[in-house]
Amino acid sequence: MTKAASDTIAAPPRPSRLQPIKVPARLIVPCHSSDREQPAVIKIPGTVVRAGESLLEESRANTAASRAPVDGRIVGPAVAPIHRGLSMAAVEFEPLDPQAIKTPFQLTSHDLSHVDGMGPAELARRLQSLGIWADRWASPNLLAQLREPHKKPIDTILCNALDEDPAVPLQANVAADQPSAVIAGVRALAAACGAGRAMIALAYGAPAPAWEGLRQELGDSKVRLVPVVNEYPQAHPVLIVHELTGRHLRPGQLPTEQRVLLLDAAAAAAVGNALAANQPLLSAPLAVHDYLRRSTHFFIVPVGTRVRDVLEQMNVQTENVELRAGCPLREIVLTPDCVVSGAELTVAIVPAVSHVNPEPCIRCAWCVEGCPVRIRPASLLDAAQQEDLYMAGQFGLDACIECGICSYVCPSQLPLLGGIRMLRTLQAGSRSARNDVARPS
Amino acid sequence: MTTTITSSRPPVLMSLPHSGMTVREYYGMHFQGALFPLTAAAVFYGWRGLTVILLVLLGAWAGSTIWRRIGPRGQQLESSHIMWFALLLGLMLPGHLATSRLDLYGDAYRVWSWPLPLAAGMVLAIFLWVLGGLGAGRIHPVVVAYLLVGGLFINLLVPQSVLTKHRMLLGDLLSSRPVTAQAANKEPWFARNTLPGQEAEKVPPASEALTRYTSGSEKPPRGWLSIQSLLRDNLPPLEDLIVGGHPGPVGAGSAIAVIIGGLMLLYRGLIDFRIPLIILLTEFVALLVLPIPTAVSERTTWHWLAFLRPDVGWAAAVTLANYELVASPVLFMAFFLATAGPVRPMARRARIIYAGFIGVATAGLQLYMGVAFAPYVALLLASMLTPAMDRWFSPRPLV
Repeated sequence: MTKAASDTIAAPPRPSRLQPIKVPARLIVPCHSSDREQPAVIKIPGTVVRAGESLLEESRANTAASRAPVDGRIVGPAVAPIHRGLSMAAVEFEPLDPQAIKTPFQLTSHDLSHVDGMGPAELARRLQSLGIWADRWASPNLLAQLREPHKKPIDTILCNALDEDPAVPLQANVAADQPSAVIAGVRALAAACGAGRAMIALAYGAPAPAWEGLRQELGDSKVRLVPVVNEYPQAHPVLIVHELTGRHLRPGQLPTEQRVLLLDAAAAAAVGNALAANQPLLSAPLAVHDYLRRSTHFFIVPVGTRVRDVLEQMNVQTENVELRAGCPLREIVLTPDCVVSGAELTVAIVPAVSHVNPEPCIRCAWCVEGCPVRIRPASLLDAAQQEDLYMAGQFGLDACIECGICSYVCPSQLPLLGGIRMLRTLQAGSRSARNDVARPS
Repeated sequence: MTTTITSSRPPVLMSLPHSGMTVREYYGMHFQGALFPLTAAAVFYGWRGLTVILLVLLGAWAGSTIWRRIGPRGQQLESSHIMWFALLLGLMLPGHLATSRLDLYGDAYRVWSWPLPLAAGMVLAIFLWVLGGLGAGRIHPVVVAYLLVGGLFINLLVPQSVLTKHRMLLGDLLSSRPVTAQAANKEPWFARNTLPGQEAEKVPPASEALTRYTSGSEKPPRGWLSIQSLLRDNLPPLEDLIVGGHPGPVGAGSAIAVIIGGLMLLYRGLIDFRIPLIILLTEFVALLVLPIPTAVSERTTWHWLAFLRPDVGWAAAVTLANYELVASPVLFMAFFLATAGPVRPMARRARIIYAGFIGVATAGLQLYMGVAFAPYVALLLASMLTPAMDRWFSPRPLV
């Protein structure tokens, strides 16, 4: 750590709302890469690395430099499951001294003059070198937002401190714990991208310390704190961008296509710590919401911790339960081996899946009334059954944000979200087939 | 366009957590809305009114027990769905059917009318099977069953009596004495004097008088009948139709009860407010615009926008429209039938057109065909357009 950086760090002045866990015996640290054809080269197995040092032999252009979360020894290459159906190349890592990790430090000064006019691409390289990446439902791929060639300049930095599930206020707790880092991150991004507008969206119902912390730290800063009614799925980029800027972001598009750079509070805090204190991403906040015991736990865990290790420390058995990432309505299934990284930061423990025979659609239209993007999920299920992509397009497939409200409210218990995902798979298949035909042999 | 996942398909992964709402509970919630018309039925038509409903339910249960065993369509018959529809059909029938000695044309011609509601329930079960059961079909089976029964036994379905205020809830609907139109039209039901021991009053229904006048089939005793005379002498006080106390279908005899029941359905999120609102508004406007006779005589002439004519005026035209609205079962149809999932379109914009069409068609049919049946025929016509409207009106997504 540089001297300049250490000047900006002080002991935590307030008790953390995130509980540190014991460092597990094995960590699987993912290497976030946008280039699958060029895998990262890791250091020789057995090499001892200090906390914060890179685990990779050389840095690739499109790979975030994975950093050792604690002092430890490299075991070898591995594969890190992120959620069912998605995995990343990773480094298996053995901590030398398993102990509780430190709580996040607090920034005391915001000297961000060095980022003025840096530009998004240079900023992306800087964050990447510190192992910082974020790619989750409420915070789209941060490095891609900064890296992609911008047709229009970014004019708004939007920090989405809304929680995906309002009952699990992880982002609000991060904002309460590290308000100065969150604000530093937003200011740094605004300065680097030349954005004239910077906002932090916080739920009306967020815990009071989040409001107080952010208000105190904001002072006369140009960053605006915007209260928002947070009803699921308001935290989705499509909805929050529409709510606060009136711009129409298509699902799957990066917000920068609408000149908005969007990130959540956890990502903003990581960016703030990186740019104001040169601090790499070594730990991540994690919320575990147990629907069986009706309890919620907030942790700070080393990057690369498996969900299984967290649950063991909570004394939660993984038999007869199902783990889901984010809000359980989205039906993103986790396995206990999934690792905590820059992806989803909320784990829901729900009862094990049962099988039901759905009733026929009774056309109650509750799915239509409940849909936040005003599409027709029941008709999309029809389209899925007929494998009719034209019909799916007519009924709004491209606008679906996969929030799962339709499946949740359906009295017939129809797999509406499953049908939509099936259509998306079909659509991707037909697009790739078209590209294959168009590509010259 | 119908989602046809049947119970014979392999199990599908269930969404968890789910709201817990099932189809059975969904239709169970509808019964809360029907409690108000049911209560009004008990108050104004007594045990015979409730017996008619029970007979329809029994018939539907017996019919569905048989038809449930026949073919894959039989598996789509869901008991809560059938019972809800049977309840609706029961509410559409008059209370005097629950008897074995109905005097249709005096003592010389008595009929056993109690099998009719039982058969209506069975016919409903058959139509539910034919139209595809739960969620399927774009034609309301209740409407089809009612129109079939009405077409075959039209005289039996003309409401005849209402309990007196002293014997409401407890009286026998058939223990009635005729009340002259003049007496019935002079004072409202709750202020009318009745003979000691009289349990019910036999009153000519307002729907018949309205149909005769607007269709031009009225034969006035003095050879001439104006709108003002019709409203003053031939129709009951409006409050009898709004609050209750006039012969009618057991569930549609009290406009207030129907409206409160509909508001309950709205409150529970079961129906879309646009549909009843637009039906009633468009019908009201259409009743003012469409040609009506300003007076019935040997040479009756119909006039568009009758309220503009000095011999009619706003007051008489609006009052006539009000009578048309509350004397017909349009309120019951608008809240309880037109809002049913299978018959109304899914798209909000399409629902506006659907409801507007029903309103205009109801007004036209009421004026020139018959007040008692017009709303159901209009709904039948509109529901045939629903699949086309669902195709024309694709959703407008937020982004």
